[in-house]
Amino acid sequence: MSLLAFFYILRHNGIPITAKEWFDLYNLLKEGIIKNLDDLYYKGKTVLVKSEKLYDAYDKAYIEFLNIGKDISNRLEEILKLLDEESKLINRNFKSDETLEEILNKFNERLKNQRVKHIGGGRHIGQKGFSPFGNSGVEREGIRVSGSSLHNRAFFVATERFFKNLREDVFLDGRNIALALKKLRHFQNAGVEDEVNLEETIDATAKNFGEIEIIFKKKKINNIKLLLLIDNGGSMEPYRDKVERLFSIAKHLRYFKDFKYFYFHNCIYNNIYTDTELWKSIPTSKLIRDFDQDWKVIIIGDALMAPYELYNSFQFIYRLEKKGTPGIEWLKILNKHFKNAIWLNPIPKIQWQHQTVKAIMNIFPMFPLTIEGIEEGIKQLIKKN
Amino acid sequence: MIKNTDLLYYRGSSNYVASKELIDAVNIAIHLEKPLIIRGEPGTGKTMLAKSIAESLNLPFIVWNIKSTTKAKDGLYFYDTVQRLNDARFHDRDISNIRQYIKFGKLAEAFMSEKKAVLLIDEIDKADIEFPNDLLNELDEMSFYIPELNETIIAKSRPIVIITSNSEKDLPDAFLRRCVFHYIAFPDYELMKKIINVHFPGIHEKLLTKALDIFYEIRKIDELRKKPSTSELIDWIKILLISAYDIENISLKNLPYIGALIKKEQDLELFHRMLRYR
Repeated sequence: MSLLAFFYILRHNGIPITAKEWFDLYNLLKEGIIKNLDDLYYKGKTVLVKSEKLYDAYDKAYIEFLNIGKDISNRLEEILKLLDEESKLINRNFKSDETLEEILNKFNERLKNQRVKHIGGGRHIGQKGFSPFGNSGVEREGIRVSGSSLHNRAFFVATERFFKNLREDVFLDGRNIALALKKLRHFQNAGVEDEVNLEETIDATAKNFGEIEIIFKKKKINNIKLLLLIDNGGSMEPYRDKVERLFSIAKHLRYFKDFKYFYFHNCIYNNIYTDTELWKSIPTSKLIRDFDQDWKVIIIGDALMAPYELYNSFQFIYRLEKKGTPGIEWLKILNKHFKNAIWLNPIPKIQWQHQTVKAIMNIFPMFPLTIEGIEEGIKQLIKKN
Repeated sequence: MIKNTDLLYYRGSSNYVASKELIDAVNIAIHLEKPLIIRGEPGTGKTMLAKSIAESLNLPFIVWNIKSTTKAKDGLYFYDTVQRLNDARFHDRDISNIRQYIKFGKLAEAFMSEKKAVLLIDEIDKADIEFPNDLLNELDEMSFYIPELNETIIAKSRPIVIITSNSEKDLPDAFLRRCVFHYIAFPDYELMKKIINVHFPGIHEKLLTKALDIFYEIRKIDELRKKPSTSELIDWIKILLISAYDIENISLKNLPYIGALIKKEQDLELFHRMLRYR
């Protein structure tokens, strides 16, 4: 039984801790700042968990950690003893030319590639060392992966990748979305000339025989205007989290020259809504009038509906609207009006078999609502047509 | 070996109510000499924390307010080439002395402080998404290089760095790894009582209970886009006290000065709509 088990339980529960955090915890133990199990819980949380979204997972992991051994009261003493041995081990083991920093970097590199999913037999931790965890020597230098037990030469026991990292999962990271959206840019000079153009100033001054002439230039700003059209229909409910995340990131990116959004239900008809409850609306024709062709349009929806909802002059089911242009026609009009428009679909690509999905794919370039999909879509959006 | 950080132990201060976990987190950050990231809803006192640390430990307090246009370099230094060019023309100053054209930023100020400083990097997520990454090295080594002077500024004493974030954007992993983290949960009823008592010493118990009951009742409405936070509550109580409103008459249906609590028009509409259905 060792504290290192905690490390793996934490990662098993989806907390992406690395050697760096682990050393912080050791430091606190060594310095006597963590004195009891309560301290371990609270103070450990401060150094190990870097997002409140993971607090719950941390609680789970902590309970799991306490339950794997029987005698809890002696645990801390045990931990402290092990810690002492482990720190000696560290000093003994890393004798190669690499600095500890380098070794840690490599270790971190590996951990990064190995997003914790299912550590197969991870439940066995703490019984007899770490045998369940990848005892299949991975790298020669640096951190060794030991098969037998902690008290061997290895300090960290790395786990093998049991499941390949599914790209669909990476999607959830808000930062990734923000980085992908950042590619949506087109810089143009705009505004008043209020920035000194250093090079031209030097040139001009030199030509003036040292008589200083300051040349100003306009700032470069992003000229992209982004319009989001979001399907708020019932079938979108399972993807609400994903869509909301993308939406709130786009909204807070403060990156675009302008950013506007509207909602629709299943398909776009005569009216498009300004609120999620679908109370307030503007005519879709007005949208086309008010938003010029340079707006970049991202439509988010599952494109799943009954065929008549797409093809008939049928309107929004729950409210009485006059009969009008069929949805598919509106989609064609929108695609024709805007130079760049894409459709992001939260449904996995493999399921895009439905008739209406296929029909809409013929109008808009469609991409899955994943990081890769967003990146591909944005390439499409910044293309010059 | 006694580290100089051992002598610094934060215990909270009289005008700032901090939970035990928060105090622990601060002391861990001081001990490990790592920046402390503070997250939490608006109005949980994130910004006030740094001030309280500086006051109670009697250390210089430096604030770096982050805006959407802030660049990492702004915290280090700015080389005023235009001024130098200008001086070259009028021979006002000795232009070979480049040092006088180097203006230091807040981070540099904290590094160069004779006494260990408390540096607040306020609302780090307001800046560009790359901003935290650009600060990695400086925060890690607490030093930076100025090519113009061929000089490296090294922190005389590693500052206590408090970083606040509104969690609008996720911070990069590499950055998080170098920091410790604490989430300030929204104060529960009892803690809020203490907080209000700090702001309004000797406030009438009846008014306090009533105001808090209503406040937490409103916060239960998940549909609100912006739930009232501590600062709204304090403002509201202040108005109630000034106007000497009869507390007996206050209820959810009859809320005086509701604008102090619910600020968004849509939220007000929603609130009234919900009351009608009660």
